[in-house]
Amino acid sequence: MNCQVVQNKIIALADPRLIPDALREHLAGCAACRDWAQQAARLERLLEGLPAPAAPADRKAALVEQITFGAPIITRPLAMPAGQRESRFAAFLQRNAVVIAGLAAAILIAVGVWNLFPRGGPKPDLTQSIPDDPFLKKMVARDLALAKADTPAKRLVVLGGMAEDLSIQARSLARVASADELRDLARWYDKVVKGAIVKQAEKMHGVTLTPAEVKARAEMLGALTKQLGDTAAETDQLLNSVPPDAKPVLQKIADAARDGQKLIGVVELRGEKDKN
Amino acid sequence: MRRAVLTLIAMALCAWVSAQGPAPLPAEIQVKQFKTNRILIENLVDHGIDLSNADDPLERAKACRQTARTLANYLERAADAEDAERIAEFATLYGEVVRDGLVPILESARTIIPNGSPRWSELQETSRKAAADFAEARKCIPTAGKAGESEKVKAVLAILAEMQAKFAP
Amino acid sequence: MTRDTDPLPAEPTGSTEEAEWILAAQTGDRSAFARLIERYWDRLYRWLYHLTRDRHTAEDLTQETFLKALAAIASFRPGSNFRAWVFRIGHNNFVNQKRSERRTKHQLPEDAASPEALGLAESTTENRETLEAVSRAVDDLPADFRAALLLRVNQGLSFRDVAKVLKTTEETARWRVFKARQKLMKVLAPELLPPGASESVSG
Repeated sequence: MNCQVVQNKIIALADPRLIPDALREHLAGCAACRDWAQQAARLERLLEGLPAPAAPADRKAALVEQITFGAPIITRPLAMPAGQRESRFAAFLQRNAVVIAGLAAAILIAVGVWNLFPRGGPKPDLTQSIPDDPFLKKMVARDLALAKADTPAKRLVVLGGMAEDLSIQARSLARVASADELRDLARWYDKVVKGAIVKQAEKMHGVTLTPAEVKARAEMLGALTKQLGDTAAETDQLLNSVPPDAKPVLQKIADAARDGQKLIGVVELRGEKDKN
Repeated sequence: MRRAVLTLIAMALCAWVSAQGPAPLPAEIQVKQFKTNRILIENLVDHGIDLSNADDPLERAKACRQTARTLANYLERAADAEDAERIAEFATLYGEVVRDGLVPILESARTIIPNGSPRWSELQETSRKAAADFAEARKCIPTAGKAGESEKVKAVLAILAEMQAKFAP
Repeated sequence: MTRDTDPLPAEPTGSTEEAEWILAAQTGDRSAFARLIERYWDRLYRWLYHLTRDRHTAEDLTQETFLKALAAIASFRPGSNFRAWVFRIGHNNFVNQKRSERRTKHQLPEDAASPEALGLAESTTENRETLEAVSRAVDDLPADFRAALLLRVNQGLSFRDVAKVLKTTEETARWRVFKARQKLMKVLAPELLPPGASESVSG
């Protein structure tokens, strides 16, 4: 067998690490093909260990919960004669009568399965949408400002503003948006405050400054902390006047704001300790 | 230095105060817009966090390009749907990010990164890709049909055409 | 951040437990189907992530796939390979999604593959550059070849099952895996040299 054939056979195997006897003979006497086999084995190992981001556990859990306890799963109606389709739906609904109220079932049928899980699925129909979204403009403006910000202090200004935009939006939409949509806002708020803002606060402490600069920095972080406190307070105030499923989400935002305050405080303390 | 820092604080307070912006739209409209733009906004938040993590002009340029590309994607989708209003909206936002963000950062990066270094080639590559993105975005905007006839779309096309000059090689 | 070699919920070979769950699900027992989701969600997501190179799309497709599987559970032939069946639905969804969303990716592959996002921050025996290079090379493979290769190597499906998932012949499945490996061997030659050799070769 010539080397080209052997090498091709090796990578055509189900697993190149399991070399059949017929090929072993050739490998015994051929260093080039042994090297090839070794590389193929290494490739196989590397491919097996190919990294991927962690599967999102919350999506899985949400789906499991929906399926176990939730409304019936209705996919787009199959191409069946109308009479037959109706009776299958009727039977389906009857079986799940505990879970469905009549009106809810009618809505589900009209609205389709994708609106049970609004995140993802068919993309929004842009032609029905309302253009010139001010919130969208704000977010783009924040990104632009962050693009220009080249110090932690400047970034904190913008990030603080972005967090504020998100919390205001959540409060504005608390009575009209779905819990899922509000959860997204809460999640983004959390990311910005406990991820980005705290990180930049830490970076501010990595630098040696003159006493005047230290004072200015303390003032800025103080202002930021106060802003977070205001967000928490304002969000708290709203809790009793929003729909029940919006409450826990707004609570999350208030908590994230308070956590942010604490974390910045910790960073400050650490900075003080380092100084002394 | 002190003045700069104090100015920063003044800026900070203004920024936070002005977060209120113009009179808000009715909640029903806001929520409709949010439903439509939700995924885009999540992307922008993520890009913003990436931008804040970028430590030098080259990294910022790469992250800013992400923001620009995301908007360009939505622009293309609006163009496919021949939605004149949305085409104008996304094209305007895209143009702003390019003109006020990407181009200045690339210029500033060029003054900082030494010619011939490995990062220089990365910078060149990023510039080249950004220019290509821009050309592609311009191309996808319709010039005929119901969207192409819209005054808004024509106006935005003209603005982008002017900007093309900035991407001269 | 996980690796494809990380322990997944144990996959029994031809398990009777799983067969029972499927039968139960077919009679309307939703919690039985939920267990199937628990078992296969991670695997399916990882494969779809490698195909789409975009987390959001992969998440959406994974969810959509399980919903469709639930809706179609009655049509599954007990005794046949459930995983291949679910992955086939997943692949269909992927192909449909690709067709309808040509240019509306949410994240651009070349910009999205930051080392941290791929879970490369902690690495055990293989160094980070090597894994990055492998990831990039796999991403560059055409989707058909990438799909087949990963089904064989990561998901451990037989060539026959790979063919079933991709709705093609076993011969084509083998061919795609072969060509994919051939391309990767070429592209990754520098990384695949044994550690000692690469140190002396690199400048």
